[in-house]
Amino acid sequence: MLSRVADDLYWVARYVERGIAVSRLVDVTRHLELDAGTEDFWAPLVGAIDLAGDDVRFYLTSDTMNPDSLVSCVRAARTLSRGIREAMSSEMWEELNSLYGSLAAPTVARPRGEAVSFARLVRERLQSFQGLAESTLARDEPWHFLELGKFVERADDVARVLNRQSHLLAAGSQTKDPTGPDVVRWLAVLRSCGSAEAYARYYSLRVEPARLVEFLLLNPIFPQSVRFSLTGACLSLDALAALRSAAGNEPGPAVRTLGRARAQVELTAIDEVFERGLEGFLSNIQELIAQASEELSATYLRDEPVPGRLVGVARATMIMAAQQQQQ
Amino acid sequence: MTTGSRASVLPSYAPGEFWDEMFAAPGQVRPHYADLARRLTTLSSADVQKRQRAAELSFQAQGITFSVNQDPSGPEKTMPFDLVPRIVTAEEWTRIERGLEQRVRALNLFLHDIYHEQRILRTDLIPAELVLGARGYRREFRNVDVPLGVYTHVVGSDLVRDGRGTWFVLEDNLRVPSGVSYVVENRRVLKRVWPQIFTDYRVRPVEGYPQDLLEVLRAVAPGSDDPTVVLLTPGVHNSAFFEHAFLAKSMGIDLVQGSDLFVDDAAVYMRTTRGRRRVDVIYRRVDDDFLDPLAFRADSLLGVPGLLATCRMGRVTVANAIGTGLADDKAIYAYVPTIIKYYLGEDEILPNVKTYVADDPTDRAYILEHIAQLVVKSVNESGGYGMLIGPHAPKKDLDAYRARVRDDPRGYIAQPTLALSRHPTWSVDHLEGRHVDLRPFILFGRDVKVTPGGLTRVALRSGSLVVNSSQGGGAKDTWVLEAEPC
Amino acid sequence: MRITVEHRTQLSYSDDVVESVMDSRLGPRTDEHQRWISFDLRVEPTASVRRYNDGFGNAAHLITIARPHRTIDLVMRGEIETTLVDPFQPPRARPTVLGPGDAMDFLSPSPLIPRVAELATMAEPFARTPPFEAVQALMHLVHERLDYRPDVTTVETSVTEVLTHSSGVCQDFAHVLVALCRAIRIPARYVSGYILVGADPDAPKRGAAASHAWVEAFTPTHGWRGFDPTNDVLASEHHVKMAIGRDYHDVPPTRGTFRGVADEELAVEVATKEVAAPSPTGR
Repeated sequence: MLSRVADDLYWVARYVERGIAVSRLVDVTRHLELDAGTEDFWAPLVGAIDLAGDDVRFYLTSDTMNPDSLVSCVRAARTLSRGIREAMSSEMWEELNSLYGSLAAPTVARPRGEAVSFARLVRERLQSFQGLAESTLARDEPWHFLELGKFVERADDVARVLNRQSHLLAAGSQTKDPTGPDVVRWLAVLRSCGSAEAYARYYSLRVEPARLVEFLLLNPIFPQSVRFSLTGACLSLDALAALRSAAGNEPGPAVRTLGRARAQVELTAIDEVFERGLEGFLSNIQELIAQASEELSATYLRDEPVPGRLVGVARATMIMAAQQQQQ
Repeated sequence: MTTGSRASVLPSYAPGEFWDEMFAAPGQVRPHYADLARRLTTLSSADVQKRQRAAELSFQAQGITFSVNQDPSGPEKTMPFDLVPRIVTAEEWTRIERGLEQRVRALNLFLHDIYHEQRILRTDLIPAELVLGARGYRREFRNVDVPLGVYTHVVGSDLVRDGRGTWFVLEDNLRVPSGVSYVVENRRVLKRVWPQIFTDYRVRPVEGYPQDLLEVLRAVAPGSDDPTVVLLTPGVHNSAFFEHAFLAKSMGIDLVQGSDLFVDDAAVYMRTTRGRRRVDVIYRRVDDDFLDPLAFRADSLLGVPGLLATCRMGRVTVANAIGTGLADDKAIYAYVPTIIKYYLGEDEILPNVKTYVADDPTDRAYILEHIAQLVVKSVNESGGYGMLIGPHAPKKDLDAYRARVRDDPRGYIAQPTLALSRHPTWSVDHLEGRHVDLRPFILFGRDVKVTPGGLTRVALRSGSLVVNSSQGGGAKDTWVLEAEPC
Repeated sequence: MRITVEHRTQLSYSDDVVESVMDSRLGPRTDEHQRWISFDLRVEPTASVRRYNDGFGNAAHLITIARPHRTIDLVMRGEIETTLVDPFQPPRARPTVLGPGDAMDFLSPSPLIPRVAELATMAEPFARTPPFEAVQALMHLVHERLDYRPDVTTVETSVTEVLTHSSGVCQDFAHVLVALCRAIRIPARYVSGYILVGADPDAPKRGAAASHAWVEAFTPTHGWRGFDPTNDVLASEHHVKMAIGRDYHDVPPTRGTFRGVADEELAVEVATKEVAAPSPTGR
């Protein structure tokens, strides 16, 4: 398939997954507000420093100045899709297009209740988009680029959430006597990844930082875990690399880089993770993911940016800026 | 099919003094419309509106929109679709078909001549400066052996009828004629929202167009067994993008932008996830000016550097050929009857509308004196822009156009206003006559193929003569009936 | 005369670039007054070099290098025999009238030579002079009126700007002369080529360090003849033609694009030399 189309498809998948992740953060704010005295904690959790209450929710849901807000993610996904409709099924396009059409003009911060139900609605539509992809697309190149984008984004998002609270979690792993607020905070981390219920089923109701990190980072069968995501990403990338090799071209370094990231979470035990330092471990994973994403772009999606061809340069810049803002 | 119904089927419909496609006289429906007229009377205004709405939703859901006012960042609109189809009998169509084929063949020979020996310019039939001074003339493409000798792979000629029902060719569109996607979509939507009317008639199908076009494109490949054909689009921000995507998908070919292609070793390649892939034929919806920054506009981001050279070497085919826009010039249009005579030795089957070419001093004087009765058009614009409708224009516009004609006579032509034919069209809750034209599409590969029907464009505002979609016009499904078996 | 030419074009980039596509007009061109005996075009790093003819009938080369590179070194070596010893002498056969295509090309305004009222006024006094004499007078006029100064104009400069500065290089001198000829309806075209500079006091002085530009005008008596306003001489066996067009825009020696983010530097070197013709074998 055309490199440009693959690139756009990859980014549609990333924006859709990102939208889902952001919607979960909005949920977290609802839970946390019910517990007083945690405001200083959850604002950084969602990446919104110096904001509080409804402002945070506005920032996450409707702020067009925030490139990662729900509205921005949906808009970006739809804009990219418009140019590559031939690469997806008409149901997928119609789902995204009608979601985009139904977004009201974001002018004011939504009051708490509205923002949460709005976020839930958007998440459901985005998940529906993913579901439609799963059931309407043949498992060839377009499918693999969508999967790749989805899993790369998910791995990155979960790693980021964990990293934002790495100090808290590292300290917590040493505590013998967790306090009430500690537990609330740890629960918040799980909720940010939509994983509180799953964790409870897996481990029982006791939230322990070490278990939590293991669950979200190293678990091989839970779909939100970084390991699961990286495994999925590697499977798709391997399939793409095989197609490229069959055509007589180099598969590129992204395969190895992503493989290295995956090896980290497959072969490191949870104790070792904390011994090495949680923050360092997570940062390393995030770096490898970013590197793999760039290498993937260079080989499959887009060559070096072009001077005077503003489209190429502008997009390369946009991609990098988006990544920086994540961190 | 009943004939000559004299019953008063649409009592309040007034054909007026124009040729009406459906009514020969008040209350007197033309034979081929009889069944349709009967159907119309069985519907209430609410029924019709429900169907109109269904059609609109269908277009919207598909994203069949275009940008208005040539503003790609502006609002998107669906092409207003009118439920009542326009019907053309088989006999009438046969003549139109022959006339269009004659026209396209002659234009193609003309282009071939201008880009090779220029024989016609050594006669005094058409002024050399007029032809070689046309904006669409591309000397960079002189002396190239185009495959099958074809320049005009896709042509959209606009037809109109006058007050006596005579068909005329209003203009020929040879650069990047658009609208054929609506032809296919209008048929599909009408079948969906009003299937009953199709049972009374045998209508020639139009959905084969994409396949026919693909055949033409494959036929002009520079000699590959299994040529790779692509459609080159300026991108999502182009007002006709929907059509580009529609055609590419219908033909099963890649939709590419300039940045997806590059030239290496005098061949065009596209960038794919598995590496580079050779391209043999480019169906381009990008104007000549933007095709190659090394040959034409250096600031173009829409083209491919080295494309012209590669094309000259016969290593890639571009359709329509570079330089075909020469015949798109309305001043050249005025000479088409001459061109038909010179290259084919025949009289034109379909007449031109009388045209005054401002470049000619006698014509220019006439235009300046009679401007209030004429339609003045810029020779290179389309979409209804750069046009003055004298009888409807205020004095300041008349003065402005007089000045333009004086300053740049080569840039303008004028035609008498035609009493364009009208067709019953839904207006709020009843049928009213609205002016229509017809744009059939003609394909030219190994032979010439005329799509049965085409785009009937309708001016939606009462009394308006402007049918272009960018200026608020709408469209109807166009039916060409199968010939009755003898 | 037998002349060898070596034309070296070097491009260097501050970082790796890919997909260089260059369109060149470096010849060879053969007509009634010159014959290219040998033509060699080499590119480093290894590139695809494909020859074709452009819309004006010039020999052109499309040069592409897809993989990453930082420099392009293009060298053209040619040996040419020039035969026009006396440009004043009319040809033996009466020149045929120009076809409509050529007449249009070389009488109409072109990208870098729009119609300029000031030039029409300057040319007007010569409108009724016999064309061959008129062009000589106009050539002389240009030579007097313009100062030869590099660094004032660029490859994009049109005649309007040249007049503002009253100075330029051979390309600008040629453009102005073409404009003057066209103003009085004498078909004129731009010639891109080389000039042999010698110690001989009658030989041309300027234009040897780079490729040179002059004008060919069509007159009923002499057909196409060359006029070099930079050196105020008629083109003769000292001039070697590479390509002709309406103006510089049609025939830049090289013009290209590349993909990458880098600064580009261009260096050009031209060397022309007269060589002895090989002695004729046999009688």
